[in-house]
Amino acid sequence: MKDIFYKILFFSTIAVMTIFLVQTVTGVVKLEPLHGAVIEAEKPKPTLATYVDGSFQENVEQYLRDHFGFREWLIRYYNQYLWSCFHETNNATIVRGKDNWLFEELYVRNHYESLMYDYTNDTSEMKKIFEKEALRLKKVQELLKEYDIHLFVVIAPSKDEICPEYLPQNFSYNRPVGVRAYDYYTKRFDELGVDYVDFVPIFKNLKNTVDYPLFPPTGTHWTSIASVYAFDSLLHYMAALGNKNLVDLEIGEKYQAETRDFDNDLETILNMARPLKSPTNWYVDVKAIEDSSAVKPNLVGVGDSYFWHFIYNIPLLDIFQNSTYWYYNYIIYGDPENTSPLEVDIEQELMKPDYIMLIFNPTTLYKFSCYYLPRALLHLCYDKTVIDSVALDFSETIKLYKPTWYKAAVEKAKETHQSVEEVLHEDALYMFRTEPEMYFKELEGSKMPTSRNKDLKTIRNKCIFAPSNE
Amino acid sequence: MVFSSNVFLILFLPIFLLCYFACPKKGRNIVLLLFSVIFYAYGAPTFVLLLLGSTVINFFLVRWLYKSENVVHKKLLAGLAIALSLGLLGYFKYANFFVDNLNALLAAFGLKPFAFAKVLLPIGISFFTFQSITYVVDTYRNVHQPMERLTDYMLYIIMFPQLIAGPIVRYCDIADEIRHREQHWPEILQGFYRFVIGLSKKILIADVLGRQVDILLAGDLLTMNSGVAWITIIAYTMQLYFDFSGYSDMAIGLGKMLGFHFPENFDNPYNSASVSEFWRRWHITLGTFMRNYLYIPLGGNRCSKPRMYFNLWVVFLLSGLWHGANWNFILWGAYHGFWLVLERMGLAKFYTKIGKIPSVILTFLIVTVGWTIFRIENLPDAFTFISRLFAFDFHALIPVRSIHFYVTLCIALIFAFWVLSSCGKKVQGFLFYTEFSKKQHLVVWVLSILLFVFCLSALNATGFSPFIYFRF
Repeated sequence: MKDIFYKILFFSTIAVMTIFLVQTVTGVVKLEPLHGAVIEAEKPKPTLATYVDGSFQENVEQYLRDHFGFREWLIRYYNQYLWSCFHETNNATIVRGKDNWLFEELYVRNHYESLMYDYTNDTSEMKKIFEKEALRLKKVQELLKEYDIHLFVVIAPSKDEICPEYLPQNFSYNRPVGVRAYDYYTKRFDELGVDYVDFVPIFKNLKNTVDYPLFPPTGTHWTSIASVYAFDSLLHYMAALGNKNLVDLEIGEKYQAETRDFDNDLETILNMARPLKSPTNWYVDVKAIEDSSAVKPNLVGVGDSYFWHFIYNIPLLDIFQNSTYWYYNYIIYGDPENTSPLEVDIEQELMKPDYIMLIFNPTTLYKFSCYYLPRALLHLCYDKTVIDSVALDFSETIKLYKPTWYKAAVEKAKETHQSVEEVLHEDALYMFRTEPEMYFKELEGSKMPTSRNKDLKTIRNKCIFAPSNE
Repeated sequence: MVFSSNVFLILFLPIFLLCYFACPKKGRNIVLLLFSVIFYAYGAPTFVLLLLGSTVINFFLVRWLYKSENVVHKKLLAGLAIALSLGLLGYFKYANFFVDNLNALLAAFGLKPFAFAKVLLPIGISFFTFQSITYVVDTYRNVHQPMERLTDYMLYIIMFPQLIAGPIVRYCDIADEIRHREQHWPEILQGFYRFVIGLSKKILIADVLGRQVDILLAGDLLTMNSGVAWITIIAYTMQLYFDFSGYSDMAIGLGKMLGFHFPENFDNPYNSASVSEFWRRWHITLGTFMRNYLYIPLGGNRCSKPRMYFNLWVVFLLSGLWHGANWNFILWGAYHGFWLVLERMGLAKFYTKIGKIPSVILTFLIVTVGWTIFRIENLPDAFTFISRLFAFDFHALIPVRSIHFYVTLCIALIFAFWVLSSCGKKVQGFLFYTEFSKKQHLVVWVLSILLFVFCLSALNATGFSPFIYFRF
């Protein structure tokens, strides 16, 4: 009996450890899930091979990290500890600026030294890449115009450009300021006569004149209200660009309300025990004005997450007959039949919309092409027969001169139960999609290749929008 | 499996403790052995049979040695058992290093390289090899009789608390406790407190410093300013200490929970006033092993001075090589050997003259610079880094944005040097050497539980960086 006190303490210790185990296995206590996009580890399946090579054990540890009992609490309290004690975020992608303004680290880095260094240390090399993309854009824009399809670029404002006074001090970035995508592209777009809307100078001018915030302290994008006014301007721009009478927006009186998800997205993924007090924000309600004389064209948005604001704040389906969103040309939202751009018939998809909006901000402009433009260029200029014939040449070259590549193709063919020719054909298509100029020499530089009007016009005629008064 | 992992902390440990304490005392060794085999088999499945096989062979060789009355026979058997242990260590740990160097030499003479498939290193081999040697030697020297049961010997070799990273427990120190041990509940609790202290040292200090050290050392060493270089190497010096001593604390704590008394492995080494003293306070069990099983058999200091200097160098070169099969570890051993010889030649008198605190600072600097060679495996890079340390280029640049890092570094420095003060000595004495009253137990237990949960929190929160959306 004399040890009962110590025994209670010791078995309570084991109990504490066991509670975590029980919660991990059963998940009996329901907790608010953590926010943000993560790739969670799948439950590992033990096999002799994975056990012996140690990958099973690694996967178990990773799986436990993602499904650890009470991890929601544990992570929130640790994040709170770092924030409260050290003024730091535990999220490597988010930086705390002045007055608790939050910024994505990517934007701060681009502001202080440029994201160029993610690609190359050589300024002239970076400029070559930008130049190639700018020329591709111009060509695609010109080619599409022949079918009354208006591709244009929207440069959304970034928080660091409009609110630099809230950026954290530059502690870490000490490389020379590299060439920035925004600076290069805006200059070249002007010289080439590319159709584009640059909201950066517009927002800079608006900053001290409007009575609503353009950027929220705890979000990464423009405020909801700013995105509505921006879209209204874009609608007028699109009408003028396509010479079409489009539906107008009726924007209601602005009102203050509790900050909503999009204006608070950075704070949400900080996952803290005590959320930051977000000030209320300004909002407006929007509706489309019914107009029987207006046409409802098709719109495709390709680009970064700024487009989400249009999806959530604007009644797009009252303005457009159809509207899809190709998020970084990686996933298609708004099309129930297709989710991956690689699975669609690109020729048809290019001919379907009346407007193609490439939307990026100064920081994401580095990847504004995101393989959409080279692929579009390829398919606007060559039909399947030509592409297949060049692919055949490509396969022959690999067989004759690239033994390592050929060997890898043979291996892949075995694994995927395809013929080697099929694997090489897929490889060729991949290469054409990313660097068509290397295989179709007439696409190089600023030369304007002949479009194959007849085929594409037939497709276009089948896809063209029906005016709303019909 | 490492102690600072989820698998260990919430799966292995509670299940093991429940099974261990639920089992009658007679069966506890079997439970511990079983879990130790699982522990090793989980982390090194391909080597578990090798470990068990070599243990069985060693057990019977030593039994034979013990029963034999012929001195030559005894010597031969002892030599065979040691050669077997060292042979395994040599093959698994040093074969790649040897062949790589041989091939470099052959290439230099324009000869064809020697074809050799790379050998994987079984975890913990450096530790269990040394423990096997102490078993052979202690039996041979009649310091202690060998184990009667194979399972008891296996338990000595592969007991999970000290299997992977020590402390190196000499056979004579633990043999009796394997056979029979008294367990006192207050001591079991103190074992848990010690385990949590070790876990905190590892997760809350060493890992925080280590992440920044990795980032800093991945940068351009040629252009690194001296301020950054010093911060980096001091942070690494602290990382290494808190990592290794934390692991030892966890091992000692777990041992206490099971009724074992493992030897201490660290005694505030950075408070040493000479490199010789440092080696009496850093990785004490390795130092003890090297002294008893290598330095003294070589003649120790009961010989001529040149011979003694030679003995010291050999011991430290081999200590360096024991840490890893690479030239940087050999050089690091030689570096320490150099300072030890220098101290014997008169530097120690200089330390006495300048007094305790300046000697501690000087020793700390010597040891810290030595860690550069230990950490940066590529020797030209290590020398570049050392040149940056002494370039005295201190232009204003803060290399790390994290306040968390600086605060952790300060805490680490305070804990590393606190026993230089009388207050620090008192706190250490209270924490480690006092028998707590029930009230004190309650307070320390609550703090330990909180610290344990906080460690789990840090372990799982670190690296959790979700994106707003996936960006491609």
